Amino acid sequence: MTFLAILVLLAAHYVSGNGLLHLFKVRLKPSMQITLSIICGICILSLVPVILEMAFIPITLPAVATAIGVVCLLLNIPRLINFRSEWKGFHFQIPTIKAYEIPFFLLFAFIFFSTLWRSYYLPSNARDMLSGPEVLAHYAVREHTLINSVLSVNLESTNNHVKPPFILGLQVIYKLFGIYFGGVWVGLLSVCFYIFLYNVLREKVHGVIAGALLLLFLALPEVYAYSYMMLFDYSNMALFFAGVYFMLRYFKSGRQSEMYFSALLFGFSTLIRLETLVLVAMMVPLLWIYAYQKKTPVKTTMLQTIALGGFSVFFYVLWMNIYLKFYMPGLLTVESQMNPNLADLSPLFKRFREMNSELLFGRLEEPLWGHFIKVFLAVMILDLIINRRMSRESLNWLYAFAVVYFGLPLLGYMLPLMDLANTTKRGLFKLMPLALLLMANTTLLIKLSTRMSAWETETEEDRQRAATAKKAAKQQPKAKLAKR
Amino acid sequence: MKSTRPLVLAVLSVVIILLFFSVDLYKTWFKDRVYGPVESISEQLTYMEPHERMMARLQNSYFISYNIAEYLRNNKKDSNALILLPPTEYMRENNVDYSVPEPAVFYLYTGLKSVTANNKGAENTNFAVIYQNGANLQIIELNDQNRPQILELFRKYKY
Repeated sequence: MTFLAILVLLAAHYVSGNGLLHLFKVRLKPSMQITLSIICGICILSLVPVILEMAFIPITLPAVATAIGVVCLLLNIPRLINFRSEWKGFHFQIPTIKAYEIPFFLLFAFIFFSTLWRSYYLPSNARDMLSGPEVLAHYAVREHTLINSVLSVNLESTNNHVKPPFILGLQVIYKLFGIYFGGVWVGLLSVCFYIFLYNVLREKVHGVIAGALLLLFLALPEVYAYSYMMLFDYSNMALFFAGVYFMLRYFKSGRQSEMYFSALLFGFSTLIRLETLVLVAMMVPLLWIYAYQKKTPVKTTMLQTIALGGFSVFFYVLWMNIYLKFYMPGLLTVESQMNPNLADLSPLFKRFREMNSELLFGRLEEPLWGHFIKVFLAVMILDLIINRRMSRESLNWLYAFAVVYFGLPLLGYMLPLMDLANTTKRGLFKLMPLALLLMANTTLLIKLSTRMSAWETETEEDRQRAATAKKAAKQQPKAKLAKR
Repeated sequence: MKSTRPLVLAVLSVVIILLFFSVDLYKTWFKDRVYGPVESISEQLTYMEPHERMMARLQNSYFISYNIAEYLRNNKKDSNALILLPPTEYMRENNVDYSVPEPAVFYLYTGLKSVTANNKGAENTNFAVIYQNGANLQIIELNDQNRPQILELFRKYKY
């Protein structure tokens, strides 16, 4: 029964997410389309319980199931209208797997199995969950409302009950569908993200290199732990990365829909962690630089800028200024969270120093990130020494990397509750896939990939032709000499 | 004839994986975080009840909290119970392995309301969990006579 419930919810995530991707005219290869649809579907459905609550509809299984059905239907209306042409254009592509991908895929499948099982079997033990979304969801299922008896308990020691509704919504849905600890969505999201990331890497580098890079990323000890443990940061990382990916994709393709889709993905990452809004705002100059270089009309750039900030602001306002203000009044204000003395910049520099000296390069480096940072720096430095230049795309990834690298201390300075040991540490997750793509975009790895691909596809005829050409090239000077 | 080069690259993939896991840090990671949990699935399948899974994961923090609630329910004292939670530091000092949950988490584990000695409403508590020599932990009913003493005792510790 539980397995069936998981399958139904997985299908709902896919259908709603895929509908959304089609609305934004996003067409990717099947493995990317499916995984990104599921990730987006998880974000969309997380809002269902909150919307029901705002409409004063009791949160029961029939109500939630109907709402999920309606969301799936609404997002797929354009596809249903064009069903005939959609169906005609549909052709199923059997994915091809190269022999050298098989060892990595077998290993990844084993790791994913472990991830999925743990996300299903283990109850959450993170304090941030137990005293917030988890307890609220547990009683929401019993009392059919998100504003339930938990709010009558003494909550002086926590603010987790006012955190964004992403996890709360998903936990309510999964618990209502009979999955006692919820949680499975974490495993689904992380596995989909790993597959999506592999395919992104594969666009740049050879399969062997992509496999090795993903393995390096999978084995990030701290990040992997959150691939099955429920918390905001893994999902936040996945959506932020997807936002950057589509923004840079737009820079290459010029397809506006991809820019708007990127804005929505950034919006989802803000829905998961509200302070991401600041990082999204820091991404805006990159869009302007591109617009300036490409001479994009000012009106288009303005619209894109509004969209980029707009989705994030929408989700922020929905939670902070509507839900918390009118449905749970008096529990949280932004002013109470802000640093009252912003003129004093010393906490900013202190946080930046500590982030580097303790988390990224200090004694915690290996327990948190394994050898990832060393490998990253080695690849980047080697590439700079050998090639002495960075491609435009690499520079764009570097910009996104810098946004997170400098943005996190800034957030810690603006919001003192964002501590170093927890919030900044987990915020650093967002750096890791960006670092991975920076590596994949180095001339060093791209050249190596090109050579590997050329060697791999070279046939006997090609070799003979090459040998003949080489021979001819050698003989040419002799012939010239003879003529003279 | 099909090229054998992809197969050569497949061997390269295997070599990369083997080299990767020859590094101690990654070998330990795989053993502890990936292989270990898969190995224990057969055992976990025999403990599928939510209560058993919570005990295994959350240990005494859940188990002792759950037993406190069971005691009050069995003695029909749970209806208006407001429990004064002890500080974890106090438990540690008395060699009791009980990481005391905060009131919201205690409510999740037990369905009962509670406060710590520093919270508002601590003066209205009617039960407390204390350490008593020999008996390990004891749930006592609070009244105007013993409550101030217990509050004073708990307030000496950091929550």
